[in-house]
Amino acid sequence: MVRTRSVGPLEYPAASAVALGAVAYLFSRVMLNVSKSAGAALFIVIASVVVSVAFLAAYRPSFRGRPLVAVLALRAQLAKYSKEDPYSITHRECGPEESEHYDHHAGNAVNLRANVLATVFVKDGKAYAELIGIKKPVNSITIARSNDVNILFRNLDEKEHRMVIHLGEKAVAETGVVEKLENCTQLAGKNQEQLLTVNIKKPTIAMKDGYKIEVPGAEGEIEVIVP
Amino acid sequence: MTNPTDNTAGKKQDMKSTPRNPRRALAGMVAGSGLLLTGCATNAPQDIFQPKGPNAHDINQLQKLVFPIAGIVGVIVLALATYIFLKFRDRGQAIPSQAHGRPIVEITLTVVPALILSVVGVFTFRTIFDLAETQDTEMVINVTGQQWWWEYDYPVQEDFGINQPIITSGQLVMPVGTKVLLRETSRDVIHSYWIPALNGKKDAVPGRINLLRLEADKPGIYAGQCTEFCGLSHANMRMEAVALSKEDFAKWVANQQKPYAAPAAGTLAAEGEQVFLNQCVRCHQVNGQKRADGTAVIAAPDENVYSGAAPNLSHLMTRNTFAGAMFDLLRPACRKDVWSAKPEEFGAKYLAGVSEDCLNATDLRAWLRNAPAVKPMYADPTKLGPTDGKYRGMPALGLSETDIDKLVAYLLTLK
Ligand code: HEC
Ligand SMILES: [Cu+2]
Repeated sequence: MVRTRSVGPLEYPAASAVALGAVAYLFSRVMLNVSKSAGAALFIVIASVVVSVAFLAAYRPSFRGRPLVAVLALRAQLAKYSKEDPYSITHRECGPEESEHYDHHAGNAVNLRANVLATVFVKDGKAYAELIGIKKPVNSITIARSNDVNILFRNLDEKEHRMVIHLGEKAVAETGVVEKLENCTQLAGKNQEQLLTVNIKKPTIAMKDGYKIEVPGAEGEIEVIVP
Repeated sequence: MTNPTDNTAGKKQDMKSTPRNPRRALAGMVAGSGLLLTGCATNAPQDIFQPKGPNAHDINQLQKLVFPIAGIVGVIVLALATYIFLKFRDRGQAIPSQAHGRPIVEITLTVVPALILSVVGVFTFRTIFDLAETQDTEMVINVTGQQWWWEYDYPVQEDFGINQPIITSGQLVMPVGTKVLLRETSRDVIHSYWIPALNGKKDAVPGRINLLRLEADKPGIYAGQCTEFCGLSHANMRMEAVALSKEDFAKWVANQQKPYAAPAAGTLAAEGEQVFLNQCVRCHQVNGQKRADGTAVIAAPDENVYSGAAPNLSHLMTRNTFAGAMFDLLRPACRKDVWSAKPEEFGAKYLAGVSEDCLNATDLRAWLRNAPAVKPMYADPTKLGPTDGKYRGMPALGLSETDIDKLVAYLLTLK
């Protein structure tokens, strides 16, 4: 009688409560039996192993279930990143050609797609921007001062392209050498997307030539105004 | 320490007697109906039931349908429940025979609410889509929230005579009868933009752009406030939308683009500009301001303020409130003259800005003397560890009264 009238089977919540209870109980047995400091060390080791294996399983699905290979690969990856730091802005190479380091794994990028400040397209060799809420494509966008904003780049051309934002120039204090300030996305193939987050600290009135976005190898530049 | 046993005993007694105490019950009822009566206020600028533009009007129309339906259903359900509780309350009678399932009742009880909800749903969806319409936008304004004020910037739009970007704060100035699209974002935490007379609320979220459409039927000032809790001075984060006729709006635009004019040498205002250069330009930008050597003054709010911004003061005295619209720049009499002006006369009065005679010097001076004392902010230099020494809000600058005199004279020239 009760069974037919109950909203859902009672077994699921009951079983999960029992299972959780069992896990908690077993953990408590182990943890209470080792000394305080040894326990901390033990669990740090266990947690690290779990995290590393999970990382590898996610990062290199082919490593799944091959722990030794996995640990070696992790070492190799870490060594490589510590030397090259591909995500550091200072190492970005923004030309039209493929950069050996910076464009590595370009396809792995995860992009914010909705509600970005602007989407920059390149199509038939021409670059232009679109803003949500505004019908027509534009060649000028406004970015509020000192705020992180996201600009999405979508390549609709056959050729690979990257988007570059020019942020003026800066004289290096010691040498007096004038360096260009710029930032760019990785190369995107046809129908691929890349996201660039920028934060511009100074308004356009502080700049000699203002700011602009370009797609090397494509026509058309997009003026960036910082009020 | 009090004895815990005694304490609970006292409480129990209290709890028993409370509902039976007729005086307390009466007091509760009076307070409750007092609360209800506040709904009848006539001078309520943030009343959602008095729409002043088509978007708010759409919402009000929907409300006129949904509220009565929900109200009738609510009254019926409560009345039935009360009836059942009273009629079948436990008087020690025997438990009557129990039955399970009565298809006709169950089907009715499913179909009737489903019908009601679909009616409500159809109208709700229609309103949501109407409000989300942006294809026919006529004008765009960027809105950026930060603790605890709003910044507005107007991208270049030749159609409206905007040839260079305009930047202002607190009061959003817009032309009447124009579909204005706000592109909202935030520099720190989530805020929410809400001018009840013109539209519903829309969150301003860091890293994202959210759209909100405003349109006002008549010239006037429409009050609003931030509606997403955003920290210490959330309650003091207010704003206003100011609607001007198209001609007046064009005048406003022209004035906002007027180049900077430094005060004449030898005046009190000129001395004030020096104080300003020493004390204020590390945070506040005044477009076009130059140093003695001719270089442009560029503020560095990114180095001093956590959100990275402080209000642009280029045309401070064209607005009539300040500090997140918390204080008036106009003395009460002058304020009343502008705020309650007839729609035909409003534009000219608003465009007159703040004159020396009309300036609310008391509040402005208090602000310059010690801003955190009049608006709660994180501005104690010894407690800025979590933000790497950057302020959230404007700090107290320890200015002398003569410096304040000079500054006020200078600020009055920023029109
Ligand atoms: C450390 C940065 C900083 C300094 C220095 C500073 N301010 Fe501010 N000021 C702010 C911030 C932030 C606000 C916005 C506060 C708010 O509304 O909550 C503000 C608001 C104001 C406002 C209100 C503007 C508006 O449109 O709402 C005025 C006027 C003002 N400041 C004047 C001055 C003057 C004059 C000085 C120099 C004596 C000065 N400030 C120095 C950060 C600063
Ligand atoms: Cu807020």
